[in-house]
Amino acid sequence: MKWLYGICGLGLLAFGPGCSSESNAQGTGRGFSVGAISEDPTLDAATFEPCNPQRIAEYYQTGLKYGEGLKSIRQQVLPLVRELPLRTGQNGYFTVRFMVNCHGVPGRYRSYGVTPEYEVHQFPEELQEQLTEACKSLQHWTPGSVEGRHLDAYYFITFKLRDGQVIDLLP
Amino acid sequence: MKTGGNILKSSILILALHGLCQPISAQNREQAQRWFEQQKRFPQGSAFEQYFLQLALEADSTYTPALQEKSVPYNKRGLYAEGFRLLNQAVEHDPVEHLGYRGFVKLYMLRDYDGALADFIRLDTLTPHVRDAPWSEDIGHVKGLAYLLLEDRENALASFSDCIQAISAQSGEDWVDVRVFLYRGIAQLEMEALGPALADFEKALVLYPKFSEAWYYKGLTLALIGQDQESCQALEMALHWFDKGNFYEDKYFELPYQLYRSDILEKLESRDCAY
Repeated sequence: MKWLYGICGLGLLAFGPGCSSESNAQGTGRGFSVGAISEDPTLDAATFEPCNPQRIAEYYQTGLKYGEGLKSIRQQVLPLVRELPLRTGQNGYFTVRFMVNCHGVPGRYRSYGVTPEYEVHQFPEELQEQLTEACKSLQHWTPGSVEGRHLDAYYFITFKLRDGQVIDLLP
Repeated sequence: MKTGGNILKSSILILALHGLCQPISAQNREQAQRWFEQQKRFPQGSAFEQYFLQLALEADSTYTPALQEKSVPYNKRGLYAEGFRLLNQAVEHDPVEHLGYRGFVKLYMLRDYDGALADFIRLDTLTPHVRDAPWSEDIGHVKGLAYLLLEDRENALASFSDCIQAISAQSGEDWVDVRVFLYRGIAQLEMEALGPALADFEKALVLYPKFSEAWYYKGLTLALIGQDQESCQALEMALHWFDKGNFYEDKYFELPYQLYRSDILEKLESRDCAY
């Protein structure tokens, strides 16, 4: 079977894992894991560096954490988004996904919006910026580790929105 | 050698005829199953895993195990549009098999309590002679939780009680998930039915004496009854067992009524408990 994986590997490098464009409709690059965030100099701080770009885990694989967990995130983020203007009809979920490197430094923020029915939705630009900035205020991450070694990992914060107001935080 | 060659030719012919005689859809399903088996060798969400799942779906776009499996890393990573595009297709083709998981995702990962409840109720309706257990939790447990989080406490109580009754009758009370007693106690507490709430927390503690959350809510209830000393003792027990790691958490998401160490400390301090 090894020959098959070799062919598939070449195929992945050349064409990406999804031959269908639909499979990459949200947040994945060709040939990358689901949710991988490639470096983009137009968006990312030049000072941010993953410790090992070849091995970036997910928070749930390493135990990456902020304070006590979502309670600590809520305590810091909610006061920053409490005074948002009412935006009637702006309902759904807005997710800010980012990377935290092995030193606990966050970077490479990307965002995705969906309606309450989980269809792609573009929230107003200003709202997106306010929510993303609130996430950027979280600067005291405890990096996750596997077998005693700190690792880079992805995390995300999802804002549940009703009429442009934050009514809950996930995950 | 000649005989061997003939056997080989015959085998190929038989296989070819077998293939021709099978309906196209059956061949596609078998091919999809083969690709699905291949993906199991790779980490969830990896490019290879997704590639083989895509191949499975290209062979048979209605093969729902591949649709659900492909959705999982998207929903775990906050990429809900793609996650639900796939999962909704799985539910559309095989609702009995996938409604429970979709309800679980909505309940715990998205706090979409109305959506979760609709899925659980539909599943229950589709399987009138089966006691469903979406993602290993009894249907009364998850329905009750969705009702409770929607602040429909009467229906929450009814669902939790139905769960306790059904499982107790079938296998015995110690087979009931202790969190069902905790959640029913919380529902009672929110309805200011302090006696029944206390009874539920105590029942949970009989079944699981190290249950930090039950000690914590018992402490809150005793304080409301005016038993301050007993309240402090219960909160101290909550902290004791919490520090020994006896609390519920999930590595993917914050649980409903998730207990944090700081919650216990705040209550101990606000009640001037010596600890």
